[in-house]
Amino acid sequence: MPSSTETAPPADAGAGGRRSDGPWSRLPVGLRRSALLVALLGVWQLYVVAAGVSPLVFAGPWDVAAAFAEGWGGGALVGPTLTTLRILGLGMLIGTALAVVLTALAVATRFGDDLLTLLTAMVNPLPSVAILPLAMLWFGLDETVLVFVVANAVLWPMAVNIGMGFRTVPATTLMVGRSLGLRSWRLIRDVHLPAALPHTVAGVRTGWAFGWRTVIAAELVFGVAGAQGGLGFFINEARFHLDIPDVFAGLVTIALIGIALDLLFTLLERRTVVRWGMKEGAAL
Amino acid sequence: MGAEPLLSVDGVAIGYPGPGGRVPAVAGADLTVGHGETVMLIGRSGCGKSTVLKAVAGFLTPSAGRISFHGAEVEGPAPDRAVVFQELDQLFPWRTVLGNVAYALRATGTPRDEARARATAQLELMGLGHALDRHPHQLSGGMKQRVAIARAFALEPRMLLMDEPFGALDAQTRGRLQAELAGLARRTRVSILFVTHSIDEAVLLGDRVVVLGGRPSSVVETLDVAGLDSPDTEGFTAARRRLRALLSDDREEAGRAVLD
Ligand SMILES: Nc1ncnc2c1ncn2[C@@H]1O[C@H](COP(=O)(O)OP(=O)(O)O)[C@@H](O)[C@H]1O
Ligand SMILES: [Mg+2]
Repeated sequence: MPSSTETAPPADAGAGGRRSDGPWSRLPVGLRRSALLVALLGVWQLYVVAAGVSPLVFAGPWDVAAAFAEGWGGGALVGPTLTTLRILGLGMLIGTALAVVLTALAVATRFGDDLLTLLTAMVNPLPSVAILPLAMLWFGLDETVLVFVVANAVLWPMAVNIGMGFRTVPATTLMVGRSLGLRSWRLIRDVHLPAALPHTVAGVRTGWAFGWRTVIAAELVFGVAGAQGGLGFFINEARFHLDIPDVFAGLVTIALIGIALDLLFTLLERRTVVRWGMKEGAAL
Repeated sequence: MGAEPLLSVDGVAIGYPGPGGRVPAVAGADLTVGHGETVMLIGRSGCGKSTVLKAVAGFLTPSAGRISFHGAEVEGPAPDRAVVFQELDQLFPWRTVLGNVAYALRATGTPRDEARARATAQLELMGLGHALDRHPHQLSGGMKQRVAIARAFALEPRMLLMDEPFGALDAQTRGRLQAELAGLARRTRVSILFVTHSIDEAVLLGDRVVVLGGRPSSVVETLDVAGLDSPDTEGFTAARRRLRALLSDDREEAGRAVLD
């Protein structure tokens, strides 16, 4: 059931709230947010013009917009973006596959369960970029390093979530599957996996956010490997050449992709677990 | 109809792992279900009815005794004994109504197109033709149970195992589904083992009623109620009185056991 994303504006202007009922809160929420954005951009531009900060450390929104348009039109930003997305996608694919295998093992055997619990407890608290030096040692100066670091970042939160999903499959659901004669892999594929989907989707959302932060951070440290650097590398390069508008354009690109991907996963969630009534509080 | 019953449960005892070792739940279950027969298993709540049913289904292994089904010892769950549960979450929420029934058929080896056709036919037969594309969470409790029953019948099992399938429904819906089930059972001649704690349901639907009592429980009595399907008749009232006496005896006994 498609439902609108935005809640009606009167909802937060209700009686008993702390907020005053001024004319501002009577405006539609979209308008309020756009107005705020424009105002912030205005202040930013005004500050740059009036204070006369050095263009070597700070750029105004106008210059950033120009650099952004130039970067996307001229292609300077296209390559790095694609590279970063490719690394992220590959890392997530590998991380997710490993998470599914590890969790299936943990559900099937006591040994796998102990192993997953121990590994998760050990690796999860480690910020995932921290293994970058080790990865460089193992894989050399190759894109594999970045993929490895991302896969590792994605694997653990996914495994924790999928594991939780597997363990909380209702007993009745499992009995229905078993009484249909389903065993081992078919039972996992046709009952455990779909029943665990709400947790898996939550895991993917956490996982990709981890992976996204990690890939950018790793690129900042790692620099370029092979022909094409990613967005982190692009930003570092721009800083090196004192091209501050480009630094900002890179940051804006990273933020926009983050927003877009999050939206994509929200949509995915709505198409699946929300539509199937498997998520509490169905209206997102 | 051979001399051998389809299902025979002989001296079955089942326990659950507890803090201090196995806790016996059922001590001596003896019952048979013949071909085409509907046997009702009745008893107080917690006396082990579901435990017996789950053992017949193959989910639990008895610690003593024997369960043989269609000439062989029961070794695990299999689709020749289709199960309908009380819980309303026995349908897969990620599949539509049609998908739930068709999937069950495909999982048991029916080709895709045939599965769809047979599932559609079964659901239409049960008055669910308008809800084929809905997801379970969009159905009422009665409709969910009807889909679960349709799924079980579509599998054309040798035996239907039903664990208080109407227990979570309102009286009116329950009455309607009881009548539907009786009609289907008569037409398909399927054998049924049906768990209930409702005396009226037991007399109404059953050919025989097996009374489970005591703690750990065993079979107290088996009552013939074939043909009693109108609550106003003499026979129905007598059977009802007898079952009520047996069940309240069990309650007193259980109370005494606590005092001992
Ligand atoms: N999974 C379980 N673990 C431990 N004890 C259980 C379990 N299931 C049922 N029991 C116990 O076994 C007894 C019989 O339960 P059950 O067969 O569900 O009763 P009924 O279906 O007649 O209400 C009860 O005392 C119950 O507490
Ligand atoms: Mg029960």
